[in-house]
Amino acid sequence: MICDNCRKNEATIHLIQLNNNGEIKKFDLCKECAKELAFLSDENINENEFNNSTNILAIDLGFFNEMESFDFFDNLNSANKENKRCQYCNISLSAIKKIGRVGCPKCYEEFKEELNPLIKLIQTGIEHKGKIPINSNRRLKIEKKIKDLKFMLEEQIIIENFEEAAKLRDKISSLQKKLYYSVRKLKK
Amino acid sequence: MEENILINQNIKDLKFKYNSEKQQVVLNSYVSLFRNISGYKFNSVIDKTDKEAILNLVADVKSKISSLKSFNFYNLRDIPRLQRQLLIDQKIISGLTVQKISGKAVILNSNLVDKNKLTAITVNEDEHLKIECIMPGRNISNCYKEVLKIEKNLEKKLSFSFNKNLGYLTSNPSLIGTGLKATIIVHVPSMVISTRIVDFIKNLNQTGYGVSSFFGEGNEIIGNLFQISNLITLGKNEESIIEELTAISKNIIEEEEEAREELKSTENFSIEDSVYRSFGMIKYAKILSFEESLELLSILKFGIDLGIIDEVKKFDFYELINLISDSSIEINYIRNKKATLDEIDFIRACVIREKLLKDYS
Repeated sequence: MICDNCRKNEATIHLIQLNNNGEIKKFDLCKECAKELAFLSDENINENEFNNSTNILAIDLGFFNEMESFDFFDNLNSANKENKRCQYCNISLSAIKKIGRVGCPKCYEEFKEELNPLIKLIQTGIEHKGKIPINSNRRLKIEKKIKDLKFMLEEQIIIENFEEAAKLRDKISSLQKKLYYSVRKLKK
Repeated sequence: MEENILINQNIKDLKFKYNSEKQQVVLNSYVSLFRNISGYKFNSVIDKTDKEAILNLVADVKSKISSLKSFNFYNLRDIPRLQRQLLIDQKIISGLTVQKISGKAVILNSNLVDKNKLTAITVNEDEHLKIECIMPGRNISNCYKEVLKIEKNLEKKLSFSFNKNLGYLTSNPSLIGTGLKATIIVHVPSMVISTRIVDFIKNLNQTGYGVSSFFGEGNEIIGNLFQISNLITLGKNEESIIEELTAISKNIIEEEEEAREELKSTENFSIEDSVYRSFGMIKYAKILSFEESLELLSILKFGIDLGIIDEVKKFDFYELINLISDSSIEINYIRNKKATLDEIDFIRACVIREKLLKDYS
């Protein structure tokens, strides 16, 4: 497939756009053009590539193998960062690497840069799609609802049920408004 | 002392009733939810005082939840060695726990009237909490419903570490997100003999599910038993993990049956030979190790299902596995004395003969 924009390179990125009139537009773009058109960041593109090439990697690692985490953590690519410590629980990156466990919830923030590529390797993406705690706040609940609806929207687009997709899109935008106002209220 | 006897009774009776008439492919279903209590460091770096604090907090919360009334709270320190070993053999607590038992506890459902469901909450293993449900047969979604119910109750009194992007947080990055681990134990002798299992494992791996040997380590297969569980906990919701594994369990039953039919239709002396060799071993061997027993029982079970042999009684494989583990034999047949390995192996051979041989007296 050839890129819709430059008509030269192989298209590797496929986008479906749903505009306000419920019309569907499909784009097949190459990496360069996608970057140029600025709706995809480098990170996004790399992420997509990452997923394709790493599926195989995750396979060979049996979950019940105790060494599993060690293998993953060997990928931490930072010889000089090893002395970096989490400022909440004081665990060092080299210790995380050694025991295959992080020290506290904050570690995921503190070592985001090092851990996220790793998480992408062993999981599908870095976005939680499951349930949320019952005592989480209203804002989080709306965000979760939006996430779920977006997921459903993708599914509807794949099966080309655009009528339903448009309905979902409207629901999403009304929830997003709700979210926006609730944030503003909080700020006041 | 009296309390010990009580514990003994409860833990000793952790057995399921199985239907031995049915052909069994999926032997057991396990579902675990891993949770950490917010405000504490993870168990990878936690200090002793905080660990004790979590233990006390959970004990307190447990006592306040009315639906957990039928559950008993046991500090692992207070459980006698053998019964701890039994909990490990039944895969309720992990083997590593025993090395360092202080600050750890297990909350078990002591209501043993309902023999078809075993629920446990382990405190301070790798993660602060592991809520687990085990049921015989193909019961993944029922297990999930059960752990979800318990989690909901706990959640009213406890707040769990959660991040809106990464979901429920755990010290082990391969559990973050849903914190859900669902497992089925399968017995697939025909797929092993016909080598269908190789492709099956390959396909499963591509969809984010892992297969490993249930008892053996690494690539070693013992008794044609495997466990299949989800590798991915982040980026999928709970329902799809449960649905997918349920579909896999259905799929593997079909595959095993197909392989079985294929083997039936081809006259195969070597299969018949190994079934009868196993029969001979069971009948005459005086000492049997656990691993060897698993191998023999697997082949005999297969022989019965295929209609090759009718000299042995129909038996339930999983029930027998639990019965002949070292700890179970020590508790049920030897009791207070410390037994040597030979003694255990001798008793194991007797127990198996008693269960299997038709003319055993």
